[in-house]
Amino acid sequence: MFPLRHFPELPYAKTLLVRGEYHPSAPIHFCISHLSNTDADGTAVFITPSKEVFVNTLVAYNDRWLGKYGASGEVAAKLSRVKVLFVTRILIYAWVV
Amino acid sequence: MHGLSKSRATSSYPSTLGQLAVVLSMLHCPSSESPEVDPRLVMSAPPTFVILHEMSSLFADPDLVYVVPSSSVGVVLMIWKVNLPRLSEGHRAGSGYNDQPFRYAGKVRMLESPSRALDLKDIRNVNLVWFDSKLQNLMLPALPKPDYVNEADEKHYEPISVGKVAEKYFEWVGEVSVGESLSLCVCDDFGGVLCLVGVLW
Repeated sequence: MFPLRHFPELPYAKTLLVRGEYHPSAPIHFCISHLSNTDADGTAVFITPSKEVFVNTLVAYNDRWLGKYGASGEVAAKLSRVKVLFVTRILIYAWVV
Repeated sequence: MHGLSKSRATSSYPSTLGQLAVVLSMLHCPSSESPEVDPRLVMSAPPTFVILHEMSSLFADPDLVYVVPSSSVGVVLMIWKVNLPRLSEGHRAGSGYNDQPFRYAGKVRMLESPSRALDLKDIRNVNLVWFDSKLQNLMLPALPKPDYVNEADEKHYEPISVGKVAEKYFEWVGEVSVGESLSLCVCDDFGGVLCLVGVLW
């Protein structure tokens, strides 16, 4: 959840629930940290309801570490292994009901 | 390096809900038994990490609160073509209702089990993380209390936080609060963050 190599790593967790006012870039840092600790072929699936809200919030927050390192080869290579999927309320409603 | 990395990223932007449903239902890992399909719908390997992000916002509309519990976790399961049991009238009125929806959360563990139905034969180590800033605002029971309820079932309709129920299904639960130090993370240079967004999408 914190910038790579700049803070202590979180303990390993098979399942983790993070609630409360976490910073908008926390999921990104978590992805980077996780993919740094897995094999080179490890991948992540990121599921979020709204691309617009997520991107706007992330840009508005303007994380300093991501601003400096987000486009670097090392970080970009890890994030290229993240598959982002957007789901909608209507789809879920139709699927369950 | 940037361009090379981005070329390896796979993102799907279905323009309609119907297309999105098709994409999600077809997403799977390749196997010898699977016919040839569009490579954009096939993951080269099972994911090691699944992140749910702000799923509670999907259910901010009170008219849709009824589908809160099972579908939150079901989003993940749907990708692997697992059909959750529907909440029939029998489920709604039965004992243990409050636990019923989140019982499905345990099915995430199915991702670790080889199964022909899941199309995932190699999964052994899938981590699940759920980020949600508004989970505490969701309450169970998700269904309105009927006009008549047996005394034995009365307790199942007592309000309870979805966050409290979810705790039982996660190895670690992190509570995050805003501190003064967070302001130090903000800078004026948006370039890197915008590039990051470009890498993800």
